Amino acid sequence: MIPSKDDALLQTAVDGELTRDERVEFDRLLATSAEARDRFTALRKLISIVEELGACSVIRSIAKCLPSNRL
Amino acid sequence: MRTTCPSRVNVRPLLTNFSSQAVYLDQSMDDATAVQRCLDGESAAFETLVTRYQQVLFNVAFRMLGDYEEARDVAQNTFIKVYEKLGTYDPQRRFFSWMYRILMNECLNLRRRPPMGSFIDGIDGIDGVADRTPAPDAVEAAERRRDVKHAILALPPMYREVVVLRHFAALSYEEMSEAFGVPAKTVKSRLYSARQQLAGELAAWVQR
Repeated sequence: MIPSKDDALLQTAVDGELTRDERVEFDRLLATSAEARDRFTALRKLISIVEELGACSVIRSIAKCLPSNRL
Repeated sequence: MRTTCPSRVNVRPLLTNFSSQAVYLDQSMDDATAVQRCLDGESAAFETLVTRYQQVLFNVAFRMLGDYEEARDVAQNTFIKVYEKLGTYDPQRRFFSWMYRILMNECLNLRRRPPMGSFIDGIDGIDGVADRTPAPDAVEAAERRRDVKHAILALPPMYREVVVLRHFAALSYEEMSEAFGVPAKTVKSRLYSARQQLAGELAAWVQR
């Protein structure tokens, strides 16, 4: 079981929001813990399948459909 | 693919559909300038904001509600409310954060109305180019997307919105913090809990 502090660090890393100090901590964690590496890989996989949904395009421009009398 | 949330976009001038006459708008103007020009009576400047944010707003609504038509209505109503309330916008805040609050109110108002049809039925229909693209593992990919959509919609709204803004609007912790009016630490905590729940729901896909 990964300590919650380390898990939070992995989450921040996967979001690309590490500070410089956190980056050092993160590199150390990955270098020393196989469990952390597995957890990080699983997190990245989860995010990848979520983002696979992608953007849904709005077919007609909303601007064209806004009632001009309301604007 | 994510829809990013631009606060300033440099593209070529756009032919507006707002006025009966052809008016070319400067798409490079920033949000605050566009808002000010609207407030100064140049209603055509509003199209700059609509064009800039319609895609991201629609996507956020779609992922929150799971229904294409409802998302479209909500995005449209949001722009009308934004226009009506433009005078109350504080330029010290990010325009998207302010607009996002209005969008969420519209989503909540919609959900308070009696249901017109099946909530879940709507999520398996139109969903971007990916759903229409044939692929060798198309069936498995379609199943995976369906499960992900269901898992996102099954999240409590508080968790769903962080997932949607992070992964479908590419907002940072700080930007979400401003949009929700909570500390960044709370955003991170909600994101953590949301992902824990998603990981449980989608374990079969994650472990493949």
